[in-house]
Amino acid sequence: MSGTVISFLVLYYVVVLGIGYWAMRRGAGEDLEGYLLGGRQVGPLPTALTLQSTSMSGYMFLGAGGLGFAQGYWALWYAAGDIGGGVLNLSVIGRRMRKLSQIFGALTAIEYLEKRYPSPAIRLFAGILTVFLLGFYVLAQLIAGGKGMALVTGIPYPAALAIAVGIILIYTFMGGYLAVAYTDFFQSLIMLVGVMWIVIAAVSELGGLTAANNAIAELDPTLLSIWGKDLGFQGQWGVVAGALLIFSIGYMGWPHVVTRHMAMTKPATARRAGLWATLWNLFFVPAPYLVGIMAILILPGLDDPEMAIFEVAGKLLPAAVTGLVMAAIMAAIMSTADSLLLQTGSIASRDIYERFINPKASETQMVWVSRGLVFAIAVIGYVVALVEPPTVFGIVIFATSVLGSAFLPAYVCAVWWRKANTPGALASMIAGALVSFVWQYAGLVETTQVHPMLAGVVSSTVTMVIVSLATQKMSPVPPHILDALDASVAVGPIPGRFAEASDLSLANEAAAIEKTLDRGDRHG
Amino acid sequence: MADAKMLSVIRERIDSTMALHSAERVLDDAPASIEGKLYYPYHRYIANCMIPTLFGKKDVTIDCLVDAVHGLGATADRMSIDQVRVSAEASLEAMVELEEAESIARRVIAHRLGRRLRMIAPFEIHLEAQGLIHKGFWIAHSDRMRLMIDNTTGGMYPLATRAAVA
Repeated sequence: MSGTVISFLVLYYVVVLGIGYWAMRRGAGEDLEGYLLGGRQVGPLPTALTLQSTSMSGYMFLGAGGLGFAQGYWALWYAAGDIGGGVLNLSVIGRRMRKLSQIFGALTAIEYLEKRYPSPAIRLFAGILTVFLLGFYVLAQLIAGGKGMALVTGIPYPAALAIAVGIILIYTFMGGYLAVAYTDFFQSLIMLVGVMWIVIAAVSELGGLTAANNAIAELDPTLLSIWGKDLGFQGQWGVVAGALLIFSIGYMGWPHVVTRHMAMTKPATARRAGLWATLWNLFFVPAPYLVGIMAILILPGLDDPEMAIFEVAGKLLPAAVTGLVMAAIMAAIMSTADSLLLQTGSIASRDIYERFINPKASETQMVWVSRGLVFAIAVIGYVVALVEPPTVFGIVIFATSVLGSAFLPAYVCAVWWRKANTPGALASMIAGALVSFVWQYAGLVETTQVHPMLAGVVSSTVTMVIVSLATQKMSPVPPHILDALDASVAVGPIPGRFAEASDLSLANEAAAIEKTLDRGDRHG
Repeated sequence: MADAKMLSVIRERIDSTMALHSAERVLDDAPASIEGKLYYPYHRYIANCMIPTLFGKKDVTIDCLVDAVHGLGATADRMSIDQVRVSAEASLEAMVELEEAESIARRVIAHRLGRRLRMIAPFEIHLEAQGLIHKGFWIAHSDRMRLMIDNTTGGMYPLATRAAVA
């Protein structure tokens, strides 16, 4: 990379740090308090843009491009599922989970599971599994950060990886990066414009999409098919279904994603933000895959397909733009890693340490448990990423398949099925995780032509239904949970406009006021 | 008011006329009426938090309310308090003890700071108990349904209609 690229990359971080300093010195009074309280809502558009950009992980920038480069248009099956995944998630469980989690008073998505399916075993299993799998997800971010840093700065990979891991740890531990409130939106805009610029530059370089496709057809016509290179997935609908499901319904089983529902305010705002997010996805999600496909022609000798988006940017964009876009992408990767580490640390300290090991733990002790775990993940991640780095795509598909398979029925049935009970949920989580894990490591995808996500979700769903029904007498759903489920459903037929405008944070006050009114119309 | 008592109440911003107007708007302009007002209890804390940042420590003050009926906590915007005389029947009883409320407030604030600032850090949190305060909720109904309206924020929520609606 040229000196100009590095200069603009440095400039980007200087500006971001400057915003942070400004936020600290000048804007950190009432604005910061408002941000901390969440009382000052930004509009649906900035909310959606910020959320989407901060959830764009190393997978989008490395894994997606690598898949496009290796498999051609087949890769778009993954993009197709991802486009509507967020809205589907919000529509199916969002509102009900928000109300139920508030009635239960749950702070984390794992605590919510234990309150809905009352058993310490649920929280212990869910907590350990989530920490383990989010650790893998973090590993993907570390590798992505290290590779990106190495390419942009020219520093050897081991040193670049160490710098990336170090920055992520500082971000997480020292944090206090007040600028997150101010820079996420700025970062998301640069990223959106930059990635679209890379796509347009790549397509223009090849003389348009038709010309590019014709050129790919001359090279290898199977890359244009929906069945992958050399028609490797021809007729394998089980694999295609899994590719579609993983980022569509899969979201509903990821504790670190569904936790967002617990902070939802008005359904109308959430719905509008969901629509903006879908619009963003429509443009943004296919872009890295397309860049990967175009890279087949632009960079035929590319050593590491997962670097397609960085390499194409470096080759086609003006150096200054490359520096800014790469900085925004790197910041997004770091930010995603930081969020994942925070969630992992929070689950380890609250859902495992405080719940099972030291119920009287002070906040300081819990901070040190979180930090210890985060540090361990970073060290292990560094060693794995250095010694034998797996592909970012491989890690993300592994972790998200197992997470989705284990937790999807548990979260969906929690709000939609009154008979879903504790034995059913526990058995479902174990079956889903086990089947998805074994499917990937025993090489069953090739022999059965079924994606591990599909196999895992079918197993966990069937297990949930059979075990819940078989154990209804032995382990009925407790009455207070049935009451909470009733309360989480809309109260009778209410006008759509009212349903949209309801303030979900008032669910508990409403429950107590209803009881008071039922006892005999009291009020002043 | 035979059994009247003085309550510390969050200053009202939505009067009965505004509440009625809001109710009719979301009920598709169906005629509605205000039945009355109920006061809901919260334990209030003012938290002084020291946040470590890249540029040094930052002092932030935030409010925290702990629902005195269910024991659930939430951070809140700054609020003004008025003393209001109301009939004893118009307020709900507090069920959560002060000691328990303080522990809930501390937990909620630490969780909130960690999530919002995206950091794992030992925040120094000093809580100042402000005592029990109340928030008013207007109760309104139309011929089809009943709802409550937060008289501070204007937030609305449907109520089950087991309680008879006139």
